[in-house]
Amino acid sequence: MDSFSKLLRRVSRSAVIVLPFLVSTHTAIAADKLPALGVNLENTSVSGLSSGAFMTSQFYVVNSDIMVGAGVIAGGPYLCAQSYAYQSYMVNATTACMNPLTASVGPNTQMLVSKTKKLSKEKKIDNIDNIKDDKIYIFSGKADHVVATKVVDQTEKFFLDLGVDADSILYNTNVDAGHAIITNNKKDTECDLTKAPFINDCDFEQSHRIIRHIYGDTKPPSEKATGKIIKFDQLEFVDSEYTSMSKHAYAYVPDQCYSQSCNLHVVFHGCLQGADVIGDQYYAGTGYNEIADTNNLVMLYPQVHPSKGKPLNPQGCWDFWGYSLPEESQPDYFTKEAPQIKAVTKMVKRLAQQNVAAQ
Amino acid sequence: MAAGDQSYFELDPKLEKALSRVVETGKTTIENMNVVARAITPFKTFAQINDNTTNFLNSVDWGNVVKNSYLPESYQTPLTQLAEIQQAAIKTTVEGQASFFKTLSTEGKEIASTPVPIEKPQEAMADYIDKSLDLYDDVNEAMKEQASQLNTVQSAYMAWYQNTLQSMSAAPKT
Repeated sequence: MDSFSKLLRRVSRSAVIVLPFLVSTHTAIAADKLPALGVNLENTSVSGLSSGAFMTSQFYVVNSDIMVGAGVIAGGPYLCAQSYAYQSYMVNATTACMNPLTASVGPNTQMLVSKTKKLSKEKKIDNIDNIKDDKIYIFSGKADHVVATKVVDQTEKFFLDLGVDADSILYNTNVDAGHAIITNNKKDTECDLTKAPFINDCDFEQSHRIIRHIYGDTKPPSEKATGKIIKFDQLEFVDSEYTSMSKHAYAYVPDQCYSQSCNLHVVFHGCLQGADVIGDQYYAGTGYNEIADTNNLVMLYPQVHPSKGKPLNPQGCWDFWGYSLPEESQPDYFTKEAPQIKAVTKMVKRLAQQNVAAQ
Repeated sequence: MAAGDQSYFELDPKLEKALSRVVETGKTTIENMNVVARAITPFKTFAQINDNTTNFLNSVDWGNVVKNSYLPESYQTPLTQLAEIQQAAIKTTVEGQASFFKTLSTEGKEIASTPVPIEKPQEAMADYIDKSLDLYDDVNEAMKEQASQLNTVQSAYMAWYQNTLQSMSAAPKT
């Protein structure tokens, strides 16, 4: 009996030592695989703030075959960093595309439109005519001095010049908002400030307006998100060394989307807004999930993180000037072959694969 | 000195905190310098600008540029835009410098007038270090802001030059 109790004690001591390892190993691999859900690929849309808005324009234009609309919050037009030949993409990105001295030296939309048409002809992006019947939401806060309204004005002009109907564009410049995504949550930052985590309370849910504008008749959002947030291994989709993309990204799946085909909306956070910096505030606190619940939408939240080495992306922004290809003087950050766009496109395709388990 | 009096051997918590702030500031400065150094890629940048400029200049219709150069109305928009840029550049530069000097003089005066209570030398030192580091941080921020403003001004002139060539390259309005 004595020896048995000794044995028990030894086993329990071992368990104390071994169990945490087992648990921590389990935690380390706790991220799920992004599931195949059979989403309607042809009804995909995208939105984002700031660098996420620039990425939105890129992802939307590149993949216009599958897109029905986009929401650009405080972002410039596609290819903006290529506005002026006499300065580098990075200088263009941080001057002409953010807060240029005057409107006339902001984004060079005439040239950007002609470059876009050329890329479409060369099939480096989807046929740009696809966007003509889409819905576009654009927003610029009156108190935004990071990406000024004179830049965002050119986003509207870019889409109009490419043939999007003026009635299909909802451009709001009336809110006294700082540089932020807007919510109706008193706990968020005051409306007119520009301050981390760049989520401001201006008495309306911007994510809901975006979804309503893109998809038309929508049902009111749920009081509280009831679906499932999936943390998944994002690196599975990354095949390039310097994307600055985080190990994990997130998807929100309403319960009904496991058994029926839903639409997909991709959400790009802004600089200093990835989950590695602000936790779940963007992917769980900006209202997207609540409207997803009642409108059969799956939300995909790809993630980038700050990187002070190589690639140089100290603020964890999405790439709209070429940092993800640090060795190349002509980095392709803007076509189907662009490292970040390619990775997110693969995620979208996975979500569109048929959900065999549900059949 | 009394045996129980340890105050001369113990570091005042305020001074300890101030000293660790010095170390942190040093670390951050080096880190920021490294980031700036990594951002400077002269060969890559030169190649990028060179390629893009060559492509742009090849796309310019020089025949139209010459024709337009004889038409006074071709200069109207570029000159108006240049005037706007110059006004904005002066305003931005003057405001930036004023803010910089204000930061420097206000906080500089505060440091100079800091009283030094002899009876608490460690606390006085902590206070002095804190104020100096506040000044360093604020001057740094002001300098960054000024550099960014100058960058914006320079970029505006470059953009204006390209916009002008682009507009002169269009077929003359008859």
